Amino acid sequence: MADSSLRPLVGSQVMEDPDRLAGRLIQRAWNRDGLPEIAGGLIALYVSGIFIIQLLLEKRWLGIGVIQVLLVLITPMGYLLPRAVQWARSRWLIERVGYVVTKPASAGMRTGMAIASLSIAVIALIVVGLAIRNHTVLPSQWILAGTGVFSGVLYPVCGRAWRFVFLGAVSAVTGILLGVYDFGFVAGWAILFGITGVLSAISGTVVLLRYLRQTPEAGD
Amino acid sequence: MSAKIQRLAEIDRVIHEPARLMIVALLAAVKEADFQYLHTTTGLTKGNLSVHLSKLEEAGYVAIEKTFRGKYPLTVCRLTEQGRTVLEDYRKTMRSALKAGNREQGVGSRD
Repeated sequence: MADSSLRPLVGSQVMEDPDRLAGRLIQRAWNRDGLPEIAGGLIALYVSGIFIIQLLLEKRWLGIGVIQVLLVLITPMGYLLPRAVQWARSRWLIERVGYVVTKPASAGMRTGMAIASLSIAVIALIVVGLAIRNHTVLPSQWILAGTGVFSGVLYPVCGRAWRFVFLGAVSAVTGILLGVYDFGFVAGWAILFGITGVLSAISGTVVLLRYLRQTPEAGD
Repeated sequence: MSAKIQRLAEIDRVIHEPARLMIVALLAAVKEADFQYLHTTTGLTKGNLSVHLSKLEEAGYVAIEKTFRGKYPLTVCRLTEQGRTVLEDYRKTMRSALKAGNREQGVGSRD
């Protein structure tokens, strides 16, 4: 009888590039306990909250100040939440998920990321500059739809599980609907990030609970 | 037959075994990982994983260290320099053999 423990190796994986195979397994392992989804969902809800506050406190000095502070906090949140996920894992889930120390990003990859980020920023500035110079309004509905579709593609690529395909589809459809029906730019952002954030957090929580029920602690 | 394809006969059989190749590929992508992580990530049974790790350790491709993190006992595994070199050679050999194989098939199909 075939050894069921060799099931992950059946098929094309055996002949796959070892780097790609390892990358896929590590990515799948990273998302297995649902914690990154919960973290991602919380960030999306936070961003949605900023837009909701903007809608509620529009034109009040307190509102602008609050929004500025909240906007500044997004970057440290994006940096700290993946570390919080790792910390929570090593604190409470180490006996289930195991211990791993990932390699720091190579100098080449860091340079590539910096160049890519800079290029995107320059392109965005050029587009905004041209729009201002030509007195044309940026097609805000397209931006909403584009963001929804873009994150819809990112979800399954980063998640590598079927539930991320569903989350991606919801994000893309929401983005397109917000593009077609004009709810206003700020309200559109609040709805897009709110829906994806809630779904992501719920999906992550369900996965985490199932994971805790299914995986016995080491030595059990 | 191409010399590149003939080189497949000399391929390292320790690393060529699919389960061991998966372990080595995983360890090459991280700095270090413990037994439990490898177990959950590869999907291999604990017995199977243990046997393969022992073989890789015997060959000098993987270094295994037993330690603790708080009260949690850790069997930390990391790829040695020799293991890294062997994996790189394996990849090069397989890649060039597959390319040569495809080229020969192309020639054969035109004849």
